[in-house]
Amino acid sequence: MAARRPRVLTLSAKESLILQLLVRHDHAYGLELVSASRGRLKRGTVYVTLGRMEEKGYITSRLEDAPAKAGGLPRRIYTPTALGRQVLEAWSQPAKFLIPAVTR
Amino acid sequence: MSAAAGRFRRFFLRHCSAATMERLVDPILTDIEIESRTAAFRGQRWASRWIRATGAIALFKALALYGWARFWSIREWQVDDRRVLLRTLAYSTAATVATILLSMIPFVLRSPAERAQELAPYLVPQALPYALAVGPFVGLLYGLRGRVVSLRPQAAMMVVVVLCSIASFVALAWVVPAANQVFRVAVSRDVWIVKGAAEMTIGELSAAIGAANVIDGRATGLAAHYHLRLALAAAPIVLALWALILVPRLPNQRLVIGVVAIASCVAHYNLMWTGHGAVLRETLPPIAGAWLPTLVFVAAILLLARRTPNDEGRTAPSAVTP
Repeated sequence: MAARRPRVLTLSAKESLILQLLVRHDHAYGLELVSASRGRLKRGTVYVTLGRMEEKGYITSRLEDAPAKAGGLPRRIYTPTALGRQVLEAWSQPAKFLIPAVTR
Repeated sequence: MSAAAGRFRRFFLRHCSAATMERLVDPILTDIEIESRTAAFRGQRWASRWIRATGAIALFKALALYGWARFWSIREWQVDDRRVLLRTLAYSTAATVATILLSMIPFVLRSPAERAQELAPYLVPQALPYALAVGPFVGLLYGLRGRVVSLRPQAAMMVVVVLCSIASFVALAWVVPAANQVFRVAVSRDVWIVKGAAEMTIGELSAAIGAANVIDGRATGLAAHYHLRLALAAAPIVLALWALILVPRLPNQRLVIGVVAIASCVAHYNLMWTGHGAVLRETLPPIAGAWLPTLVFVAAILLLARRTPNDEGRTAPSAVTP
């Protein structure tokens, strides 16, 4: 899927959370993000947000090698891109400065 | 993949694009399938079922969100769709303005020039409700003619039509009665002139019907006005649906479309006043008389919808399947 960079780089709160989780874990699949978010991400919306972020070029995805115990089903694994890391960094710097207690 | 998940996947494969399958359906189905199998492997059968059930809901929710966002994202629209929508909106606006002006002509011709100039603005609200029904109807007939039209511009126009219907209701309920009263005061130069049914707001009309029923049970005239306003507010939607059903069945000839448009509007207008007259003569109950044109047009729409248009290729399959 070709990533289309938006004219203005935007990062919603949900996208930021996903990027933070992906940066922390390096890579993850959809439901892993839902459980790691402790209820802040929902099953019904996380995949839509992931798709949008992939379109923006913040993350990239690939199919994992299918584990034998799962009946040969390959999961889609999401990884943050360099752009995604930069956007998160740019977003979190002023946030850290303004509201250190929240982002700590 | 389990049999149920496989059935789900085959169903979505038929209806969704490759991108949607790759981005949404397959990741969700796979994640849920693996979670569910893991739970079953641990002997948690109910947990496994619960994961499948919530997963199915999540999948439909994701598809609905994704489809909705893509549907309304103008950037995702094809150039042709945008052109069709703009063309339809332009025709609709022109037809709405023309209908308002045309409906004012009889009064302007009958009155002295100075008086006509002074009073004409008060007639605009009165002309507006019917113009809001006729305008989008004509706009749809001319805007969509001779085109392969996807679902997007049609749905966008239906949203516009619903907004027209709401605007029409607001006008009929409050604006038109106020304008009518101002007009009557201006004509009679009597500020104490008593309001008639046409000058009452929808709330006043409802209260007057209640009072008349209590006093002598003769509220037919008031009830006729009340239901007529509601039915007229629904007219933009009915006529728009009529236009959408007609478009693929009409030849791409301006004259033919014009004749059909005028004939439809005249038929609707006559049915409306025929029904109103029948209510006043007490041959029809107020609700039936007011909704007579709606009933006739809905019957015609259902009748035509059951028949396949001659030129099946005119209406393209939706390009917006999520």
